[in-house]
Amino acid sequence: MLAEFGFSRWGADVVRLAEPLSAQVPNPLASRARSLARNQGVELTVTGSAVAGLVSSGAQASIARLEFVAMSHDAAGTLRALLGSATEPDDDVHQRAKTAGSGVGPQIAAADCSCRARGDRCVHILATLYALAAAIDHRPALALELQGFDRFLAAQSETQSEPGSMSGSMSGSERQPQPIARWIPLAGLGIGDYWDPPATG
Amino acid sequence: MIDGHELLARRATSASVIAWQRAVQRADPQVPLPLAAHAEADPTGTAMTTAEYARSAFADTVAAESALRGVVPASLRPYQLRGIAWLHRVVADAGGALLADEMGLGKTVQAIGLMTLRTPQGPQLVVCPSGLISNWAREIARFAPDLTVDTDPTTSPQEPGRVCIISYAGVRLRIDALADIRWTTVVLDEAQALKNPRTQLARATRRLQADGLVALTGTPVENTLDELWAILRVVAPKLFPHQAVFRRRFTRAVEAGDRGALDRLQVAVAPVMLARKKNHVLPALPPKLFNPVLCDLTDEQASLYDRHLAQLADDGFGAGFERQGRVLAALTKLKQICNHPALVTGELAGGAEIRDIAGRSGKFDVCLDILTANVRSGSPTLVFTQYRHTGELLARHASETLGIDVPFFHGGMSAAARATLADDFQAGRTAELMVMSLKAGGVGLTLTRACDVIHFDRWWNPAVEAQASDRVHRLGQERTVTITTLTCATTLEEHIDAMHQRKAALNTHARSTSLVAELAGYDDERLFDLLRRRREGS
Repeated sequence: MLAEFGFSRWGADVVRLAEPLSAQVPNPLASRARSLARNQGVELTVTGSAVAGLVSSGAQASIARLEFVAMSHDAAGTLRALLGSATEPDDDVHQRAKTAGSGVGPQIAAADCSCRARGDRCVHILATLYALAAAIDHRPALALELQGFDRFLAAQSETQSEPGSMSGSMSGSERQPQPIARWIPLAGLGIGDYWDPPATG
Repeated sequence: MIDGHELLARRATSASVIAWQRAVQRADPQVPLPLAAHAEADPTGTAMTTAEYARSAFADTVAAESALRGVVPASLRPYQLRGIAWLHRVVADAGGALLADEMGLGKTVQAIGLMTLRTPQGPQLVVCPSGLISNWAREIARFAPDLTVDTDPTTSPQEPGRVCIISYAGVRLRIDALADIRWTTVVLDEAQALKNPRTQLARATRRLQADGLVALTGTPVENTLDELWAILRVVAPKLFPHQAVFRRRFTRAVEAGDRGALDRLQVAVAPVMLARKKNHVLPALPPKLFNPVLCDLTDEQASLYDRHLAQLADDGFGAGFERQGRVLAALTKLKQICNHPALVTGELAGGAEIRDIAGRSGKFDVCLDILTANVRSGSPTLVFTQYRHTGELLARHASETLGIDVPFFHGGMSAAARATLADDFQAGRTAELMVMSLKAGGVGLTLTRACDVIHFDRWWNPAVEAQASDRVHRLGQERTVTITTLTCATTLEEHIDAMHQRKAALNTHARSTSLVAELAGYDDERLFDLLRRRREGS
């Protein structure tokens, strides 16, 4: 039986944000939050590393906002190598990234909500986290996009306009061709030079 | 302000084309490509192909083209070359691939191209439905004449340059012997046979040891997405290790009406699956696509055919005027045996149970597979046959199997009823399939709603078949028409097929009656020589 939220490792990371290991007792709001996420009570809008959740229950509606920490350049580099030519990160990549010692799960930089509750774990934020976990279960790449992995790829493709330089910088023994990425996110591209070849150098 | 004249002057060659031309001329990976030169969106529309991928795809295709030039004695279409290069790359990197191009685009040729490239590495295996073994043997002889074809893996030596062709039933029965051999490539044709992962067949297939596995199917998904998972489990077991996860992410999401789930699935399977539709490659396609399929006789058909021939040999054909009639009767009966044994055993007269029809005629089963695929993909199809009983059997059986009402258009109907039926089909008021009698439906009608034609049996005269195909390929048809002909291997029908090709070469339009007369003019020995089933290897 799969978990309802977070049945992929990438989604489980986000569920972990809603249910931290440090908690001594189950959060009394959690079951209400799961029910909201389960019954389409949360409308997610993802913009870069920011997530807005419009949580509506009955006549009430609140907007929960979450901001995630960008991943470090090194962690992104490790992930890029682990992904190889795969078009999406699977559980296996998650496992290996963890073994390689890079933190892969998204970390919250800021969280707030339009409701009157105090603290940064109101039911709306929890519901948004569960809905986000479900979205990531269905599209694991989202977990990386939240952490600015797209921007890393775009920057990498710009510096990589001469492909020879990448393999050239590797040491002799572990020289292997850099796996070719199949797709590059549109978000990271500038359309200004759509018709112009990128400058070499 | 934009000056129109300036735009027109610049329209000649776009910057992306110039960049590609430069990259090709210099054969240099350093030539920078503008975004426009590789702007192919991914299925979700949120990303596009990288320049590196576009470059390597181009280089792979050029390499495949030069490796196959002179080896494959046919000119391959550009998308087929791309398919071969893609298969070669993915099978080498990931160990397995699924080629799910639409019917008629040449999946078989692409698989043979891959096998040609991998020949030096070791023995190769083709697994296909039992009715298509001869078809594979013929296609390999045509496109890869250097490969030696076997049909029994246990007796023949397994070495580079040999291809073994075996049916799915053969894999299931002889898996113990097959599993001991290390195959370089295993090609699984019509891989929807593996759609249920719990069958003995699917288990046996997973036991095959292969460096590279290729599954071919025009319909990876017949009923539910789980079937795609089952095929992927054989060719790329690492991609989705858990069926439950696949179900949650895709099968149930699609059933719940999540439109985006299909796009996400395409992104997820893109590394191992290539599925092109006819309209993707339309500029490379001719207006008519011929898809000759060679079907095998079942044991029941073969023994009926031989028994009937033996009886003819005893009775003789007589001489004079009587002879022509007897020859025609004999030919008709042999052709009906090729269509379906039930047509000559008399079981249909008493209104026999229709459920005993499947699995007794190789041709019938192949035809039904094609029809099933076409109904699922929503491509209207016409099936032509020259025999009333065959047509009734086909229409009845297709109706029951597919759960739709398949009409049969034949000469026994009144002219008004025929006109109404043709209009209804053309206007989309009937099911996607229609069975037509070759002579009744062969002329005058416009049925351009369909773009697939199947000739269930072979008529003496190629012009009559062409006439019938032209019901669909005529003014108003904007799609590529696929014309499938079903021919029973080793029988009289193969002679007819050979005769068609001779006639086409001579560009003569023989009258059908004169052909029978010509056959009747032969002496008995020569006639029986033509009719006798050619044994394999002879």
